[in-house]
Formats: sequence, structure tokens, C-alpha cells
Amino acid sequence: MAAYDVLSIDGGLKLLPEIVLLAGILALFFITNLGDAKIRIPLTRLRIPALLGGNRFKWNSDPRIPGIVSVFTLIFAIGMLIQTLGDDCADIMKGFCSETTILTTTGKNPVHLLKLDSFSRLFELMFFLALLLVSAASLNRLQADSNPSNDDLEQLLDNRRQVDFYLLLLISGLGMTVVAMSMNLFVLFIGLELASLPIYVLVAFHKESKAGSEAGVKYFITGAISSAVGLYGMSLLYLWSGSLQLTVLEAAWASMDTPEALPLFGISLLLVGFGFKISSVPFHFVAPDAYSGASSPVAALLATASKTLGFIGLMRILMIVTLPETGETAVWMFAFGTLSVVTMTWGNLAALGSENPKRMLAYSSVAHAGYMMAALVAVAAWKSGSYTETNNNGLMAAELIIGAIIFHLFVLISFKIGAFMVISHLETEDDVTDMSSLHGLAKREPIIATSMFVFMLALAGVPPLAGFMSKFLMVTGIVQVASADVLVNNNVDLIPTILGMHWTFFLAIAIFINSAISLYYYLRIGVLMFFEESSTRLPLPKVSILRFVIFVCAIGTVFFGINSDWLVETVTNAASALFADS
Amino acid sequence: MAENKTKLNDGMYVIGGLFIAISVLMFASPNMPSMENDWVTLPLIGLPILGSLLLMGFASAVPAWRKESISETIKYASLGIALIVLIITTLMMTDILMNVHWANITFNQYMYEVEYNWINSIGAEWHVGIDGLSMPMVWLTALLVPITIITTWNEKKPWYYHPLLILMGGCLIGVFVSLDFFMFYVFWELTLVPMFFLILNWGGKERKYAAQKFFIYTFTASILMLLGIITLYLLQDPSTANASITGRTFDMHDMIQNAQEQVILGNIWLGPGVQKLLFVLFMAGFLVKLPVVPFHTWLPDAHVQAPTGGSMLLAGVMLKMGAYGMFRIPISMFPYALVEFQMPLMIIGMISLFYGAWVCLGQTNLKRMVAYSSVSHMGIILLGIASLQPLGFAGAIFMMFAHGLISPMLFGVAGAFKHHYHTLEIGSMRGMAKHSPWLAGNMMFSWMGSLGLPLLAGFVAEVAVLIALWFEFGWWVIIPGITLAITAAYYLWSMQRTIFEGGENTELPKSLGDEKPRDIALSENIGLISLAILIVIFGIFPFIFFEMMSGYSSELIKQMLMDDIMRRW
Amino acid sequence: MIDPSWVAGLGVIIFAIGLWGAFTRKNAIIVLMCIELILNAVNLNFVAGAAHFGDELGWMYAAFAIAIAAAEVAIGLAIFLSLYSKHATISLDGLELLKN
Repeated sequence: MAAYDVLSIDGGLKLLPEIVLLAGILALFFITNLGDAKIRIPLTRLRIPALLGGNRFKWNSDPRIPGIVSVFTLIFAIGMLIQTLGDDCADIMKGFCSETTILTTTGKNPVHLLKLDSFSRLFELMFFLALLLVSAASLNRLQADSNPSNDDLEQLLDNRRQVDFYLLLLISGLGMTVVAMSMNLFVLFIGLELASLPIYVLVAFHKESKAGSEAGVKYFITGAISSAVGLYGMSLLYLWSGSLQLTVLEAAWASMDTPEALPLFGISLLLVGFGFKISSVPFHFVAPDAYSGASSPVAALLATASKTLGFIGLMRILMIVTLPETGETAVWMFAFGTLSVVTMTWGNLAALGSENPKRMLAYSSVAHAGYMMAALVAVAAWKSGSYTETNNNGLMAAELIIGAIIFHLFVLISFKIGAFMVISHLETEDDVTDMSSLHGLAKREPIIATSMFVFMLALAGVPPLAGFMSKFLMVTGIVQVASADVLVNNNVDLIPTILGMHWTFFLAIAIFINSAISLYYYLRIGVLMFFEESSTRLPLPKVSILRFVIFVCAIGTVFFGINSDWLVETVTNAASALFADS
Repeated sequence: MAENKTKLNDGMYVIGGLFIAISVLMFASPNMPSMENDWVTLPLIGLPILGSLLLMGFASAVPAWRKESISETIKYASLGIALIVLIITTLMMTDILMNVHWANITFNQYMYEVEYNWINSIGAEWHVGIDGLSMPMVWLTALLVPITIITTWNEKKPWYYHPLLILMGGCLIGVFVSLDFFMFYVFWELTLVPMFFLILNWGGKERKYAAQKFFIYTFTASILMLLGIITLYLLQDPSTANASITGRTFDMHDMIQNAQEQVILGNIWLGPGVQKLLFVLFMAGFLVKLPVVPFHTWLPDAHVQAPTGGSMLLAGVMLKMGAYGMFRIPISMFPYALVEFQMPLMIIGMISLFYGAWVCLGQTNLKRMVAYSSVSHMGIILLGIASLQPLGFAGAIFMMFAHGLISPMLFGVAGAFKHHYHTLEIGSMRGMAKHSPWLAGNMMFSWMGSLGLPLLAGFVAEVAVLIALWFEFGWWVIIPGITLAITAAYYLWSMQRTIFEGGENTELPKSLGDEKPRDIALSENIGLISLAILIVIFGIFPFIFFEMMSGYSSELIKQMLMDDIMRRW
Repeated sequence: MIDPSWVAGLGVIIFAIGLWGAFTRKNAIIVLMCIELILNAVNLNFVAGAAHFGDELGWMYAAFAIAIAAAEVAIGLAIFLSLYSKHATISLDGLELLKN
């Protein structure tokens, strides 16, 4: 394991993807501001071009320039990411992995700041992919004239707003990568804020509409309060242990004999901050408001990348810091388990009664957060049961569950973004406020409708789509942890056998019951698209890039369902990297 | 015109996307195995599924105003694919393709067996094979798909309908040949999707409700089965498969072998309590699919609303998935639990048989009537299983096959009746034979088959099951015997009224209006009569399949169940 | 020198005031100020910790927290401004447009 100074050349080379992202941000600043302004050198008649300001040149006055810059920046960043993986990883075609590198602060006592390993690199890849899909899909989406006359201030402003959109996306991406890599809780939090603050603005980006600003305010207020509370919890942890390094906190937690009030209080306040990000109960009410007020690409970002941020935080806190010693029960286990069941049930029940497609997707994303929280609880159960005594591959079970969560977050990028893109495509025609927009879509756009149905079935977890694999892996992990005791006590009758299971077994059952409930509203979308009559038979406006993104998402959804070998290998690498330092 | 261009592009995207997906799949699995001597993967599963996807992609690429012109092409292409599958399965069955003695293969031995790596990391494989249990089912599926296509040749929107039927057939064959739990579950759920669309697009008035109820009901039940699969998977020794990260495998063959070793060597793999738990979880999935009382309520709705072709495949093959699954998994793997649960199974079977027949008596809707008679027949299958006799098992398997021939014919007739008389109310007419002699003849014949008339296929199965019941339970056999006799008498009487009564004063259903009653079309007749001929053939020469079925059953009992049955005495 | 625990105690009080205000107040600006109070409580904690443990990182944490608070205020005010231009109010009570 190599350690570099973060400001040294070696360390900088390791951070090439982030540097590319930063360069992209700067490029967005400059390229869109290049113009024919000239500076007259004083006392002469010589005027030299200043390049910035003035009227823009012809080539950079196309409003799509910022989007294109953003797309190429992200593609380049992904390329750099793969370049900097290192030699330890034998074959990337068999599974994505990376060598482990630690970047430290400069100075006499270097503090471990960032860690580059299979875990963080995979999450960077996921963030880049999500941002890439979103920015590609938004290329033609923001209304703008492709030939603005130079004297038209309105057009110019609109064009500037294109830059704002992509600038905020890329800055947010920079924050996300910091979250993925951080080894220090405070660095993680700075990354989280760097990622969230642009997203607050993106949610309120439709400031011309009442709904946009309202959604922005609601999302901002709740987000700011919860992150402030989370930061306060972090400061309590600092008061308790004197450091915010994850490894130090872990050691301090492990050396604690009886639960103390200060760290417990700190951890629970910290969980509030992350709970908002994953929109678990009691923060579930913001998600539908924010999603329906924001534009669909931004909502897609909220449902995937932003949720992933929260789960990285939860995994770091719960799996590294507070994972109990063998044979002990984690204090948070039962509360978190209950919360997960409430979250998934509430999300599904609310989605059942939802008449707005975006709100329905929002509630479904609440429910999915519940599934993943249940899986996290099961990891803790691995340590508490008699599992490790009978069978020493408990770590494997934990890796399987964490891997399943990462798998789910990864494939969410394909089908959740895909579903939002379909709605985005519908929005090119008219605002999508209720289900009637979807009526008869199959007759107007058979392929788009089929893709949407594929996304819905994947969300419901129907094989052989990607959503099934992730749910399957999650439940496999949970059952593996829960059923360990059954083999030991060889009961003869049925009821004692069931009761002999660890209580996390019922989390698996809860996931199943909820999948069955959720099927109703996912299928309903299909029924609406294929059965109801729409007022028009005309196809939707042709936006090729959006269609392309939808097809890519649909193919990804099917592909990762049928041939998930690569992804399973990848997420297992990531999960073992997470546990490697604990 | 611009609009048409858009549509064409979309379809091209799909076809192109499929090719890209396939090539990426091939690229991503670096050592793609050679498919020599593999008569199952591509010919039986890949051909129908990929063929139907291509046909549907092609159909959606064609603009709406030109769709009519390609409908004939698509119909013949679908029929061609279905016939190719039928020919291959027939060659398999008749030992021509490879020299196979279906009746002599031992328990847990499979013909045409191939294994490919699929998802190595969790131990899931593409593992297919056929034995005496699955061969009849595969052949039945391959047979019913072309017959369904022919019978419902003139359905609306054929460019999607007929490809969906062969897609359905491919998925069903996938269920019957898979020897890997993961693959089994994937195909098990995959069958729901084409059926959902068949009901939704071509169904009756309440199709929306029926399609969703069908999907949700069976999906909910099968996720209980999935829980069972996962639990079973995890109860293996974690050093079973080195390639997977969990160290376990989904291989059905290996697991059945483990269960068998447990019986022979007495080493404990699955304890009694665990066996019971798994038995209950698996049976929950299968009993709903079968279906038995009290989980049967989805069936009448789905049947009544489904289009004719949909109900033919639904009743003919999809219900048999439940019975097939019972034989393949719980009976083969949890002998202790099966013997423990013998009485509950027998009682559920009795109730289904009796209740199905009883409700059937009160129905006036033809399709509903057939649906309840299916529930009743599924009860017979359960009774055959509960008898724990080789003869009872063989009878139950033969019942699966015979009912797979008879119920499509019943539904085909009901569909034709609906098509020509615009009603399903059976009591609304008198003297059908005078107006539509072919329809009347087919209807009469199919009901006789359903009642178990001697020399027809259903009779063999019923007699076998009843004899086995007599061996096992003694006088209990009176209940099913009497139920069968009474219902037979009632149907014959009611059919006779509808079809032959009236003489000169026939009565036509009101729904017909001023239309003149017609007889069925040639395509319908070809389909129905070929079914009728098969019913007679398998009634007179049941040994074509009965030998391999009884071979399988006696092997199963000898290898797995004998100890547990003896223990009970 | 003041004992750091007093500083942290003051932090608890400020945190409580801030949290209470953030949940009960209807005016968006006042809610924003309450969030600032919470962040100030955080700063007090970090400073107290830094003094207690003699850890210079604590000072740095506090400085960064101030920067985060400033950025949050800037963005919050901008969002409130767009709310005001559309709704002509910044009361959080009237936000009932987005409902199921």
C-alpha cells in the first residue's frame, strides 16, 4: 500500500480524474466567455485581443457548447480513471478493481486524507457514469436558440444559464468523488457539502416556475438543517475521541466497553445527515416534492448519485466505525432494522396512491432506500449471531451484502435514470403532472414504452433484469446471515425452525412482501402505456440524444441482469476493499 | 412522412441494439463454449425467444399503415419457428436424434445435458437437460404453440400476437429443461411477461384487472419460492463450488445428488425441520401456480379475460409448471417433509377436486366453467402425488400431459364459440349441432375428454391416480370417484341440451342479433381436430409417454422416498 | 483559561436554540439564521475539542465549517430570492403547490 503526499507529483497523478474534472470546470468558464474584446495598450494605437469578454466568436456561441464540454470532460475523466487504476489489478474485463493508494496531508505528521482503492474508484466510476448520462440527456433539453443574435440579451442570458447547469453538475461531481475517497469524516463532509450545494441550486433551477422555486426551498431547508445536525453530531464525535480519522474513531469505538452517551448521540445525529441523503423515513416527504419540482434529469441525479453519497456515508460510519466485535449486538441494529422496514413500506404504500409519475418514482426510490438499509442491518447481524463460531465465512456474507448494495446503486444508474429520461422525453411535449401523460404511449412510441416497461420491471425486481439480481444478492446475503443458526440446532418441527432463524430473516421477508406490493404500481404504468387511449397518436418530438440515452439505459438494464458476472466480481472487490481497513 | 421515418429508425434501434447486446454478451464471456451437440439451448430456447424479439422489433419498425401488409409474413415466420421446435422435440422423443431409452434412465440422470458458465461468481450456471419427467412437458409445449398459432390464426394485431406466443413457448421450455435453480427461477418469472401482454392486449373487457391480478398473484407466490431457493442454496457446504464467491452452487443436479446421498448414506444435509420449512416455501409457489383451493382465485379471472390463444397456453402448459416444479424440487429433494405432509396434501387435493367440480356445476360462462374444471383436475394431480405410489406419481404426470391436451381444446372451443356467437353463456342456446356442426362436434368431444371417457387421454390418468389412492388410502377413493361420476353426468346432460336439443325449434343466443350463425373457420378446425386426434392417440396408446413417466416415478420412489415411507410404517 | 467543557456546553445551548427555531419558525430567513446557529454550535465544539486535545486540526475544521456556512447562506439567499420573485413571500407556510 503506497502513501503519497497529496500535493506531490505522484499523488497528483493519482488524482488525474479529479484534475480532469477541475479542468473541465475551468474550460466551461473560459470557453463560453471567449470573445473578440481587445485591449488598447496605453499611449499607443495598438489593440491586442484580450480574448475574454466582448462578442463571442461564432464557434462558441452555440448554446450546446457547455453540454458538449461537460460530456467530453466526463468521458475523459472516466478514461483517466481507468488509466490510473494501477497494475495490481490483473484483468479489468474480469472485474473492476484498483490498487490501494493513500494520499496524505503535507507536513510533519501526515494525516491520511484520501484513499484510492477498488471501493472508492468504483464509486467514482458510478458518479461519472450518472453525470455523463444526465448531461448527455440534457444536451438538447434546456431550451435555447442555436443562433442567438448578438444583441439579444435574453438569448445571451439563456445561454449563460446553460453554462450554469453544467458547471453545477461538474462541481457536484467533484464533491462526490471526494466523498468516495475520504478517510476522514470531516473531509467526507466537505465533499458531501460540495456535492449537495450545487444540487440545491439545480433543484431550484427552474426558477421561472412556481413549482421549481418551491421545490428548491423545501429541499434546501430540509437539506441544510439535516446537514447542520449531522455536522453537529460529527463535532460531538470529535469532542469524544479527539480525531475524525475513521481509523481512530473505529479504534475508540472498539475500546469502549459500555455504550457511552456522547458517541451514541453523535453517531445518531450523524445518521440524520445521511438519512436525508438517502431519503429514509422521516425525510421521505422531501423526496417527492423535490423530484416533481426539479427537472427530470436533476431528479434522476437525486435518485441515483445523491442517494449513493448517503450510502457511502452510512457504509463508512456503520461498517467501519460502529461495527461491533464478534458476539456483540450493535446498538443501532434494531432501531435501524425497524426504520428500514418502515421506510420501504411507507415508500411503497405512498407510491400506490400517487398519481404523478415523478412522485411515484420518488416514493419508489424511498422504498429502495429501505431495502438497502435492511441489507446494512444484516451486515451487523453477522457479528452478533453465533455465525462466526460455526462457520468462519461470515466476512464473506458481509461482503456479499455490501456488494449487493453497491450492485443495486450501480444498476439504479441504468434503470432509474432511464425511467426519469422517459419522463424527460414526455416533458419535451408538455409538463408531466399526472399519469395521463403516459396514456397510450405504446401506440405513439412503442420502443420508448417498452423501455419504460423494462425499467419498471427492473425496479420491481423481475428476472432477468438488473433490479432482480441486486435484490437477489441482497436477500441472499441477509438469509445467509440469518439462517446460520438453523444448521446448528437441528429442529424437527417447522415452527421452531423458523423461530430459530435470526430476526433479520424477517427483513428478507419484509423485502419480499414489499416487492409484491410495489409490483402493483409498477405494472400499472405498463397498463397505462399499453392499454389506455391517448388523445393524440403523434409521436413525441424527436430528440435523438435523449432517445439514445434511454436505449443505452434499457440495454444496460437487460445486460447487467443477464450477464452480471463482471459486475458481481466488481462489487465484491469493492466490498472487500471496504472491509480491508476495518 | 417524417413521422414514419421516425418509427422506422426506432425499430432499427431495437434490432441493432439486440445485435450489439448479443455481440457484447459474446465478447464479455471470453471463452464462449462451442454449442456442438447442444440440441436444447439454441434450438429450443434461443430460437423462439430471439426469433420473436426480432419479429417484434421488425414489426415495430414498420409504420402503422403498412403493418397489415407484413402480417402474413410474420404469421408464417412464427409458425415456421414453432414447427422447427416441434420437429426437433419430436425427434428427441422418438430416439432418432440420439439413441435414448427414456424409460430406462435412472433418477437424476439427464439426456441432452449441457452446462455452460453463466454467472460464475454466485455459482449460477446455464445447465439444461431432459429426463422422463420433462420430456413430455417439453414436447407438449412445442406441440401446443403451433396448434395455438393455427387455431387463432386470425387474431387482431398478428404482428405482435404470434411472436408473443412463440416467446411464451420458448420461456416455458426454458422452465422445463433448466437444471439450475437460478435459471429455473429466471424462466419461471419470464413466462409471466408475455402472458401479461397477451391478456392485456387481446383480452376481454376486464383484461386490465385480470392481467394485473394474474401477475401479482403468481409473482408473490413465486418470491416465496425464491426465498426457499436462497435458503436451500445457503444451506450447502460452503466448499461446494470453488469458482463462486459464496462457495456454493445453484446446480439442481448436484443438490438432488446431495439429497440422495443423504438418503443412502444417512449423513445429514437437511435436517427434518429445515426440510419442512423448505417444503412449505417451495410448495407455496407451486400450489398457487397449480392452482389449488384456496389460492385459485386468479385462475378464473385470467382465463375468462385472456384471449383464446392465451388461455390455451395458460391452461395447457403454464399450470403444469406448478406440478412439474413439485416433482422436480420438493418431491425429489425433501422426502422426509413429503411423507410428513402427505395428509395435508391429500386433503388439499380432495378439496380442490371437489370444490372445483362443485363450483363448475354452477357456472354458465363457458370459460369460467373450464377454468374451474382445471382446478378440479389439478386436484387429481395433487392426489396422485399424495398417494406416494409409483402408479400415482405416473398417473399425476400423465394427467399433466393429458390435461395439457384437453384443456387447450376446451379453450379453443370456447374461444370459437365466443368468436362466432359473441357470447360465452352456455345456456343461451339450443341445438348448436344444427347450425355449427363442426363446432358442436369439437365441443362435445373436448368435454368427453375432460370427463375422462375411456379410450381418451384423461381416462388413463384418472384411473391410475384412483388405483394408487385405493392402495394408499382405501375407501377414501370413493370421494373423488363419486365426484367425477356426478360431474360427468351433469356435463353430458348440459352439453346435450346445448348442442343437440331442440330439433327444429333451435334457440340462438341473443348476442348474435341478426347475424346468421356460422360454423368455425378452417384454421380453427385444423387446430382443434389435431388436438382431438392426439387425445385419442394418447388414450389408446398411452404407453408412448406412460412408460417413461412410470420409469421416472418408480426410480424416484426407489431412490428417494422408500426409506421415509418405510419409516412411517 | 476557560475550561473547554464550558465552551461545549454553550454549544449545546446554541444547538438547541437553533434546532428549535429551525423547526418552528415560518420565515425562511429566520430558519436560515437558525441553521447558522447550529453551525456556530459546531464551531464551538470544534474549537473546544481543539483546545482540549491540543489538536491543530480542530481549528482547521472550524475554519472550514465557517466556509461551508457562508456558502450555504449564499445559496440559501439566492433560492429564497427566486421564491420571493414568484410567490411574493418567503413564508414557508404558503408552500402548498407541490402535493400529491
